[in-house]
Amino acid sequence: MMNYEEILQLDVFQTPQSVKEAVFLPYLSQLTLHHSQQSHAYGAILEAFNKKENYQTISDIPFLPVSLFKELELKSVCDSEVFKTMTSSGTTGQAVSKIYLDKTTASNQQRTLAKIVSSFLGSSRVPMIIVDSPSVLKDRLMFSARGAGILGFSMFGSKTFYALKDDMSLDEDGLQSFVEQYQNQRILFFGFTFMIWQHLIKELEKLRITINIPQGIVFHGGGWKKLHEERVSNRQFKSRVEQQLGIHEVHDYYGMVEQTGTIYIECEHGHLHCSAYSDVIIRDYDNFNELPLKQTGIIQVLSLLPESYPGHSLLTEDQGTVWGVDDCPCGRKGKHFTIEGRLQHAEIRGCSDTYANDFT
Amino acid sequence: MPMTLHDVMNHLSIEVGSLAFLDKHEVRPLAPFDQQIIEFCSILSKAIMKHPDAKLYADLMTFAFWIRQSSIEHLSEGYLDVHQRIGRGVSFHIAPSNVSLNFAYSLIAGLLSGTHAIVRVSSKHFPQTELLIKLIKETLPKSLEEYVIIVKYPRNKEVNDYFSFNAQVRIVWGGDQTIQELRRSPLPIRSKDIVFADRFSILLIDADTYLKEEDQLAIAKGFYNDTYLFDQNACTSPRFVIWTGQSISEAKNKFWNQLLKLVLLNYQNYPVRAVEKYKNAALIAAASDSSKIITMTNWLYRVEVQELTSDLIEYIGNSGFFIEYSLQSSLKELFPLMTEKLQTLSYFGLEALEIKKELSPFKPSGVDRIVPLGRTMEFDLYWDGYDLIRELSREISVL
Repeated sequence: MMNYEEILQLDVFQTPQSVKEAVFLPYLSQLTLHHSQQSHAYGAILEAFNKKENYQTISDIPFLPVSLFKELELKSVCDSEVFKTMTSSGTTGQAVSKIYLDKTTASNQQRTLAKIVSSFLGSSRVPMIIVDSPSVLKDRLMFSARGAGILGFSMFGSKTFYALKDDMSLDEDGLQSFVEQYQNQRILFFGFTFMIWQHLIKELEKLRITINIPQGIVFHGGGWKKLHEERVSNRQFKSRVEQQLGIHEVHDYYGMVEQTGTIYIECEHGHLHCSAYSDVIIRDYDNFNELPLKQTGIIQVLSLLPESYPGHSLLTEDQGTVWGVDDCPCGRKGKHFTIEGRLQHAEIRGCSDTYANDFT
Repeated sequence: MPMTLHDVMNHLSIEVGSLAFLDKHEVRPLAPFDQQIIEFCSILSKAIMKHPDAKLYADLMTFAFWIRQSSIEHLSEGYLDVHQRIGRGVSFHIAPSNVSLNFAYSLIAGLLSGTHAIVRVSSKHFPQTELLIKLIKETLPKSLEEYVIIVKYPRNKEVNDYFSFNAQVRIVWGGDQTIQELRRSPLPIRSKDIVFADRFSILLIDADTYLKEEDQLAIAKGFYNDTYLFDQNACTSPRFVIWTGQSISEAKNKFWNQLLKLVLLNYQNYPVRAVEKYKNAALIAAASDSSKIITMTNWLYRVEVQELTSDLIEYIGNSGFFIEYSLQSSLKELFPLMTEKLQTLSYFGLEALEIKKELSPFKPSGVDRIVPLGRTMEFDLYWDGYDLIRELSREISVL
């Protein structure tokens, strides 16, 4: 079995699926065993589902529902080894995921993220514009997926500039002078999709400011819910970014705090890509069986990173479609897929708490 | 000071009846089982049964059947002594929005008790609700206009305040959160609340009797109606299935497979519910070491536990999620579940009176109803531990 150091040497987007799966099966089996020994809750869950052993393919590796991290403290290290606890974004009153990191897992997350992102960005640090307000990091209560994303990506910035003020208004003077200062250089824009749309692109349009950064690159994530509500497609988003900023390289990414590090980046052809360190499996709504290519189902994510918590195999609440394996026209190997949003919430009949929900 | 009737009228629509009596302070309760009310029920029942669309809605037909003259008279036989009683003025009912006809049962209970019944129905659209309201409007005699009042209004504390201020009894259906919300509106000092909080229910089934039963499909249908019909989310829906007898594993196999066939045929599952059930099962597994999860597709989850503990109640699920247990020796093992939250014990293959007799010595905090499998949803004037007719009326005592 390869160790993680060796795995990190695999080519991030040129490792064919068959090679990858040959590495993944023993590695994920070992991780599963490790977690079932170290986390009592995890072990008990596998026992109850009768999924403790006998994994023939990576599809047999048991998965936890991602929301379980909101309900249980799941960790595979003792408390003294917990180096950092990450939480998911959530509005007040909502339960948040709690992810326990030890030094090894935290450091592997950083190195893995670096491998994946630099494959698109290039290996040197570049001036970086964060489309958010600096207070997102200052306020410890807000320190969450948004903050973690920013901190994670900040390692790619040689100089960083926050484009939004504390009241989320655009600092257009600061932005223009930052761009001028690094004229003709590659500049990285990073932020949540909705932030970029609402507070940068629409603001620039309103102010009638266009900027031209032909070497620029945008990474954005966090989901399309709000943009789809405004009937804005990915294509429209890209073309408006190009209009206002002159940037053609615009990459959506898919990731979650429960698997920080192994993000999925959108290629030039609009498909999200699995790197050599993580994978997705699409599962049937009716029985969680693996679905064939081109069928839409629930997304399961596999990552080799989580050692300090049992999050290496998770059933998300997102739906998606794998379009092919090793055959994306962009040339990257592995699975390429798209996301079709969150699972629809279904209204439940019955007599509990109905008035209270009536108009909420 | 609550709003005046005039102000309130701007915030609600009156679907049936008139509220003018509140303004004039002309509250005139009736006696329970007043002849006018029984006649009205009978006329309404006939109007429903005659209506060509009514047959589309089984729940509407069930209601029509329940309020027909002979049925009401039969109900009144349990209340031979109540004709001396007097309805408690005005009853104000908050009906649940996710069960189409619950409002109607609450209304009838209010009327049969002799109160002026003001019922808030949800603005959520159910065709059978609309049809029933229309038929009530058409059949209601003028003399009962101030007794049968159906209103709709969006969530609004001031309107709740107004009706609460004018109510002698407030009846709140559906959920702890709703009850909390309504409790923010004060009731007059002598008035009272009847609240139907979040509860759960269980099934007790004898494996050997089940295996001898010829019509196992009928049992599956009955259980389907008890559970899946309302996403297993009604307080009457069994969340636990408790087995007794010898051939339990054989019976389980038949019982669940029969049920699964009906579920696959009739039930609409949603992916998000499948994930929810999966999570719930994992939570139980994490909390109790000896549980075993059986997934019969994502429509039907079973969690077999080796011991019943009261914390299992926190993990009850819906939309086809059952916690299963096999009795070792006696009903005493059910005791951890017999908290205040346990409402209905449904049964198959056992004797109701025997069950009651066996439970009584434990003096359980829970179990308000013992009903046969398939009939958990049947409305009764004894509901959730309340004798509604007596709760909603009073008696003048003579020494």
